[in-house]
Amino acid sequence: MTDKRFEQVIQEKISELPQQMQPERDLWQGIDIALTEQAQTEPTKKKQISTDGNSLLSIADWFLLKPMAMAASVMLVAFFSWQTFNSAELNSNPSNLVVQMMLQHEEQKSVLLASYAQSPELTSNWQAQLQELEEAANAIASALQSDPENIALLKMLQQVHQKQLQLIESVHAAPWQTI
Amino acid sequence: MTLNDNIIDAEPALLEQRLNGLIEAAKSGDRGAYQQIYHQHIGQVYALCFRLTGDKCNAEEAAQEVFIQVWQKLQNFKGDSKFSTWLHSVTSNVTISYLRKQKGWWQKMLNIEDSPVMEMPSEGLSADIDLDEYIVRLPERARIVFVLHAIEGYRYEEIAERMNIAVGSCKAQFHRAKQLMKEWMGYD
Repeated sequence: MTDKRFEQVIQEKISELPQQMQPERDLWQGIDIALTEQAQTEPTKKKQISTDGNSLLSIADWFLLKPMAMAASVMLVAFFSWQTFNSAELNSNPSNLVVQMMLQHEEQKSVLLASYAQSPELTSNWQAQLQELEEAANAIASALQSDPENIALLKMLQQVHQKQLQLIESVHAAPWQTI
Repeated sequence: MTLNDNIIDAEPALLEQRLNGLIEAAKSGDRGAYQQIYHQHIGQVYALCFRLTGDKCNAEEAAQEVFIQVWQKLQNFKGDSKFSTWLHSVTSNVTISYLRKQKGWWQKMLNIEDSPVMEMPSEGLSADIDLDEYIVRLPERARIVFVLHAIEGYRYEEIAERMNIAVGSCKAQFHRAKQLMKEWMGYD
């Protein structure tokens, strides 16, 4: 009986759901800016590819993307090997997970910074921003020491790490973008 | 049939015609026309984004992503279906992919694939239930399947394909969503 009543209530409530909801802020401005940026970058890319028969991108591929891809592959192989040998220990001790997340992130960050060593920086204060994110990550890692299984904190730590990598990527322009 | 009835009957057709004009203008790069399309459809897009993400900030970001991608894909819209139907499909795909991107490398690697179940006290058998409040509290996968199947009418097979999961998992997530809601509503 309760099952039938529940199904009935759910169906009623679904039919009453509003088909439209308005966001609390105007989203158009952000969309407009993104579309303008896209419109500005796309013709530049096309122009760069067509200026040379050999294509600037293929040269860049060779000198920049290939070493990065190789480094990423080595890291992946190393990580998977490590995972295979240590998965049991990792699962049994969640605090190891935090340590591994920090180590892995440091490694990724170093590789990324090294790969961008010769690239020009688009802003000057990015290192301060990176430091702020570093401090945030350390604070979260400290909190995880006392609550190592807190998924929300783990997610937060992971997001701060991602933000750091995104920051490094976004402030460094690849050589072909500056020609 | 009165003159008023005729006007009311003609209204949807006129609106459709006007929308088609805006779409054609937007296809040829008219940003003003696209802004009008945005204003006409943001309510529908945001509602779906909000129910799928279960969070206002994520819904806003996903809705922006939808309109950025729709601008790029507009040439693909040939008018075979209604624009709102096409937009709806793009919205669900973009939002699912947005949610996937939100998950980081570690979460994927360690199979931390779902959000935790939010604690919610049972409200008893009340008629004054805001279903949206229950939807946003569901774990992510259960919420997506519930919204797409129960509210939007997608088949399990379609949802499974969009979410890149098995049809059986899809059904299990739907069952899980209903069980949780049943419990929260006090029908358990």
